[in-house]
Amino acid sequence: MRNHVKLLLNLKDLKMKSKFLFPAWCAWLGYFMSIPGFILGYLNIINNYEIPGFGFKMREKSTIIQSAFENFTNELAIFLVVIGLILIAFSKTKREDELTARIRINSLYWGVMIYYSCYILGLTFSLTFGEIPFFGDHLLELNIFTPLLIFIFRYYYLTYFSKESYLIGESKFLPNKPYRSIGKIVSIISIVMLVIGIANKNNELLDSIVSFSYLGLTIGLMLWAFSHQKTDDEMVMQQRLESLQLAVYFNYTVLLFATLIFYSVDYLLVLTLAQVSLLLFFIIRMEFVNYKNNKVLSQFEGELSHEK
Amino acid sequence: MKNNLRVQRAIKNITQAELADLIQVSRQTINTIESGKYVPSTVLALKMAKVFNVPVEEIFDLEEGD
Repeated sequence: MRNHVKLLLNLKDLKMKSKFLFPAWCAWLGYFMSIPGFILGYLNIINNYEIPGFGFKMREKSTIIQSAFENFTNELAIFLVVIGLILIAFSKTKREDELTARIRINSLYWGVMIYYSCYILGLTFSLTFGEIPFFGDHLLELNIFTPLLIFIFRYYYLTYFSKESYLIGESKFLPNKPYRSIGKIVSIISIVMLVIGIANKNNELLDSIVSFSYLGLTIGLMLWAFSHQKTDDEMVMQQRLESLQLAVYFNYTVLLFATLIFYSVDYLLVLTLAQVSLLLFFIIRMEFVNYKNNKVLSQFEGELSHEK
Repeated sequence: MKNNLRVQRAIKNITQAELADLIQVSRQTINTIESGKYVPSTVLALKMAKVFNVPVEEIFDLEEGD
C-alpha cells in the first residue's frame, strides 16, 4: 500500500467536480428548516393558524380580497419548506462522486416525471368526473414542494437501500418521433388558447377552455421535455439533466421572490403559473443549450471548409 | 461493458474500500462498477488503471452489443 501514497496525492488533484451543489452539512440545515416549515404550513392551511403579530399594515383600507394587515405565516412556511428541501436535495453526500451525482440527477428527472404524470392524471380526472376531495383544494400548495419530496425519497431509496452498492435508476425518454413534435404543437396551441382565454375574462365557454389548456400545456410540455432529441448521446443527456437541475433552482428562486412580492389574487395567479413553470424553464434551458451546441458546430464546420 | 476489477484488486491485494479511498469515490461506487451495473467515466477508468498500473483496456473491455 505504501507506494500508493504518492499516487494518492496525485489522484486527489484529479477529483471530479459535481456541479451546482451545496456542502454536505447543508442537508442538516435543510431538515431543521423544512420539518418546522411543514408543521407550520400544515397548521396554517388546515387550522388557519397565524403567528400572532407576525406581519404589518400593508394598506390603508381593507377590501374584500385584500385586508389591510398581512400576516406572513404562510410566506414563512413556504420559505422554510422550499429552501429546506432544496438544501436536502442538492447537498453533497459524505463521499460525493460521479455515481452519486448521476443517481441524484436521475432521481430528479424521475421525481419531476412522476409528479407531472400524477398531476396530469389528477387534472384529467377532475375535469371529467369533478373535483377530487383534498387534492383539488390544495393542488396549488402541493405543487410547491411535491416534486422535490418525491425526488428526495427516490434519491435516498437508490443510495441507501443497500449498504453494498447503489441501485441505478436509468432515465428513460420517449422516442423522438413523433412525441417531440406532438409536444411542441400541443404546447404552442395551449399557450395561445390560454392567452386568449385569460384576455377575455367573463366568458364561460372560454373559462372551461382555459382549464383544458392548462392540462394541454402540461401534457405538451411533458412530451417535449421527456422525449429524445434527433441525435441523442451521452453528452446531450448530461446537458439535459443539468438543465433540469438548473430549472429547479431557477423555478424555486422565482417562486420565492414572487412569494415576497405578490399577495392574494396576484399570488394565486403566480401559483397557477408555477404549476408548469418548472417544465417551461427546463425546456427553455435545454433548447438554449441545443442552439448553442449547433452554433458552435456550424462555426467549427465553417472554419474547416475555410481551411480547405 | 465487462470488467475484471475484482481480479485486478486480488492481484494487487487491495480491498474495495482501499481502492475507493485511492480514487476518491465511495465503496458502494466501486461495488456497483464491479457488478457491471455502472460504467464509470473515462476519468475514473484512467484513475483505476493508474492504481493498478495497467492500461485501461486490461480492466475494461467492450462486449458485443455495446
